[in-house]
Amino acid sequence: MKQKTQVADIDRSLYDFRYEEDATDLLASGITPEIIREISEEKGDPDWMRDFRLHSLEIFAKSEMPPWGPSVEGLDLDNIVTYIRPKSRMNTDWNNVPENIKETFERLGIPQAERESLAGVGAQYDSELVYHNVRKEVAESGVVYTDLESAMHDPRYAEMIRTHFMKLVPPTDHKFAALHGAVWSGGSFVYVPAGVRLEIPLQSYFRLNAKGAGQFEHTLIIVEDDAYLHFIEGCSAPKYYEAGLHAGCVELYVGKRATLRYSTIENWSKNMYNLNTKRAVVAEGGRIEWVSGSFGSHVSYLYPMSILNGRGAHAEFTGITFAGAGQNLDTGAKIVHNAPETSSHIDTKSISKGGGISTFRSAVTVAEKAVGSRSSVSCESLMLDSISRSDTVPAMDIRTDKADIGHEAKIGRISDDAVFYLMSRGLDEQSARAMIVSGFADNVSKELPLEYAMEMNNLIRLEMTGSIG
Amino acid sequence: MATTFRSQLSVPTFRWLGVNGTERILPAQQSENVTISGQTDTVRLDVSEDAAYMVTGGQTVIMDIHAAQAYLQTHLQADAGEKIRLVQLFHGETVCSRLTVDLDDLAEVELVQIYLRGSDTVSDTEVHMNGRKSAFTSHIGYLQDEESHLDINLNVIQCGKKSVSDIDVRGVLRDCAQKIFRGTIDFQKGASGASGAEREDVLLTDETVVNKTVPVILCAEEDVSGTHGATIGQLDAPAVFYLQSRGIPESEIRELIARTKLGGVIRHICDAETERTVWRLLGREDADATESES
Amino acid sequence: MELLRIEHLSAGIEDKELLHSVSLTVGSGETHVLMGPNGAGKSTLGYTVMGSPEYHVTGGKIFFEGADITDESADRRAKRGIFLSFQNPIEIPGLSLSDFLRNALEQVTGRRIKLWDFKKQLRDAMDVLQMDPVYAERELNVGFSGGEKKKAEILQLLMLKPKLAILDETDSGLDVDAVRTVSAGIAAYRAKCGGSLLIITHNTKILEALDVDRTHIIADGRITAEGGAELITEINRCGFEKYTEN
Repeated sequence: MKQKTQVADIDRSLYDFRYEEDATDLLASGITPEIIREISEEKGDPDWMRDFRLHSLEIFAKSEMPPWGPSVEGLDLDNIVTYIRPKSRMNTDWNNVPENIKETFERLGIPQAERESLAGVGAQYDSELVYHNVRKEVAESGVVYTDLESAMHDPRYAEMIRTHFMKLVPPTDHKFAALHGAVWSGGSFVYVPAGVRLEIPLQSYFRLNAKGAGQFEHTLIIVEDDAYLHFIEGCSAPKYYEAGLHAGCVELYVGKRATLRYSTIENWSKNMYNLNTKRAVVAEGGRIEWVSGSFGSHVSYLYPMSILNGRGAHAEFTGITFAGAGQNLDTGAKIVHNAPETSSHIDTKSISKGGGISTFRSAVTVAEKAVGSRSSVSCESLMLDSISRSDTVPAMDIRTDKADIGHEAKIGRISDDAVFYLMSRGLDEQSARAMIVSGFADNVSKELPLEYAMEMNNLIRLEMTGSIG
Repeated sequence: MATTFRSQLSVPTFRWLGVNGTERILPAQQSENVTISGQTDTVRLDVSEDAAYMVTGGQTVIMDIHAAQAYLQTHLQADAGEKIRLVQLFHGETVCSRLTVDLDDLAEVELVQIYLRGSDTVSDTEVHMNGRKSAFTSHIGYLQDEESHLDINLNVIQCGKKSVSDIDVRGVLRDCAQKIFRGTIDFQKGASGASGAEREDVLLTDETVVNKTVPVILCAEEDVSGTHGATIGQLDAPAVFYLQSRGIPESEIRELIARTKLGGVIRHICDAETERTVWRLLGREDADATESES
Repeated sequence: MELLRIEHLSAGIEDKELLHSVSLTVGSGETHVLMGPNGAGKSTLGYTVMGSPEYHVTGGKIFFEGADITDESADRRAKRGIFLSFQNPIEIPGLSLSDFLRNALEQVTGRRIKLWDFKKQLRDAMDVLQMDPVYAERELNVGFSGGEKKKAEILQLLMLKPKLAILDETDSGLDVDAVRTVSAGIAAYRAKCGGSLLIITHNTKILEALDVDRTHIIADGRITAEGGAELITEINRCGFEKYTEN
């Protein structure tokens, strides 16, 4: 694995603190309260945030690794320490970026400056110009779109951050939520006032410049009553970080009759452990719409959760996961029906190829009080060869008779007839198969803005054939 | 010495759901292993205490499990080309059952399980379809009411090429009944041409019931086709109105649909006497089905 | 003698009112025809009289044999002797036609029926409709063709012997032979128990064999014309235009 060679480049002296504290817990060994204090000081955290970080660290040290899902044994937490240590400097340059990443940039036609930014090395890509126009329009509508750290220091938003930050995903949720609480850095804050319908999507892609952002970034979005927002996270270009861990956190608050569409196309480099936590709470008559494409990372745990707390709230999850060689992607969704007449729909596709493992995992719960609720789940898996693996692990917990719950799953392969049909019209076999797989993914691509959908199709084609078009 | 009986989901999932497994402490086991082999007639077994059975050769076995407390172990060994039918009727109190099934080339096993009431029933079945073109069919029906707990785990492991599995589950939950059904179809590498289907259809008729359904498909082979489906919920409103418009009151419609759901499983028993027993347990002395069968 | 009396009935689905103050009376043994263009509210009237929970009565009353049944459940109405043949009969997997019918018959009559007697009645009724006896053991409406579903509805009519049968587009989508069979079924119902008929239709083939006492034209949720059998002939000639524009 490429990961090993990167580790060798790290300055060993940074490990000196390693045995200072809590040597009994290997995972916590590198991250000490001192480091957390340093981070906190450098960022100028308010006291409550410093205490929050320290408290999260304690939880991190105490909690165990998830006993289900893909193994995270290969995760090199020492490397993370290096990364999050505030005074350390990234001692990497473009030359250290793995060849396969560079090739992908090349094929996707990403400009050099941007490539370096995406790879997390060298100069930050100056996206302010591109971003300027978007920002102007957004500000005029009364929408706040800024980075979370500045918002925390802005007297207008400080209280809002304090009352919402990690309230949906508490550090006690799981080990990596606790880690996130301790070391989080950067990320977006969006506030959409009541009744404002923002027609242009906001894209976090332009916001991944802050140091540490994109790795332990925290996204906090509040959409007030009757408002509308489409937020797009990530991009199809592979994102590379030496530390090999992404433990981000997304918290979404959707007001009454409001709609939030949260789209993600994620293509982490194939050394990454993507242990991301996303959660939305939806009030009466509100809607959360998740659109999610998972292509990258070595290991992923990703199950956006929708908590339907208000009468008539609705959640929709449309996702695709493509697991290629060396990848173990465990993805899905969780829906909690917690109020009457709530509804949800999950539609996912997964593809396994070249020894990749993809697992669809879901949970749909309907509480006693969620009378008149409806949920339908449909998941379809495609096996592209016999060295890969595809598992489907859904669960349903229904506690009222006044509910209608449906679940359907299907697993299979590309039909020979379909390949033959396309070949009979002149396509070579590889293109025919790529085309069929793209078609299989159209549940997601038709939900994305056009340029993202095209990028995603390029990505699929790249995974299928090694070239675009 | 007491032993621990464990029934576990094929692969663990989110812990907070509480669906990963079940444990029961069992008192010391006294039962001897009884082998049933080469019988031409249907073998009827009355299970009122701990018991262990080994069934080989092509035959039909019907188990009437009505113990107040029992641990039942059953192994079905379906050798090449043989066919075994097993009917298990559960209507005891606290029962743990472990069933293991091995299927060789071209072997066939048909399993019919009916669960009526019972305060605490845990049923764990593991099926190894090692044989080429082996076939496993199961019809599972349950009617749980009052405070009953039912825990079913069925794990079908398909290794054999062109093996075919089919799991059909239908049930009704009432009152404060709690049920979990875990069903796994596990396509192992090399099981080319295999297919598997699993369905659960659950009717909930009271707001105090708890239903958990975990239908898993594991797949490590490209050339397979697998499906699973589940529908959970209340009676369909247009159907209720249709039946009501013919004079049937809502309470009776529930009974009718409940019987209909179970009837679809009961008819697979293919043994008039046992079918009568089941209908009697369901409170239908003049059982429609038995009359119309005759 | 008066059987069904609808007084200023307004009803609709969700927030939409589809019937506006409709009044109509059907006497014992009479045959009425309710005609009107698509979407006029014909089926709404049928469903509301039968007590479908999907339709809400927003005004007026429904009486059957003098009793106010406006708020009664469908099964109570069925027991009183009202029958509605559905335009799209519901499929109920797992429930055999014969089990269902025996149960319904026992409920409507309030008596247990010996299986033997029931089977004989069922066979006779199926003969009238030229239905293959195997349908008795088929799942209710599951996999039935359009014509088979209509016949199964008439079979239920013959078995349950209601005082009033509301036939909702029973003839639609049927070929000539099937219409003849269904008509024979309706004639048998009339002959056997002399029940009243309220026939909802926008086409008149099925009416040829019947003595129609009264015709009601409905348009936009209102009764716009009433008359005897001659009205049917007129509709056949001129269509509904005359009755819809007002």
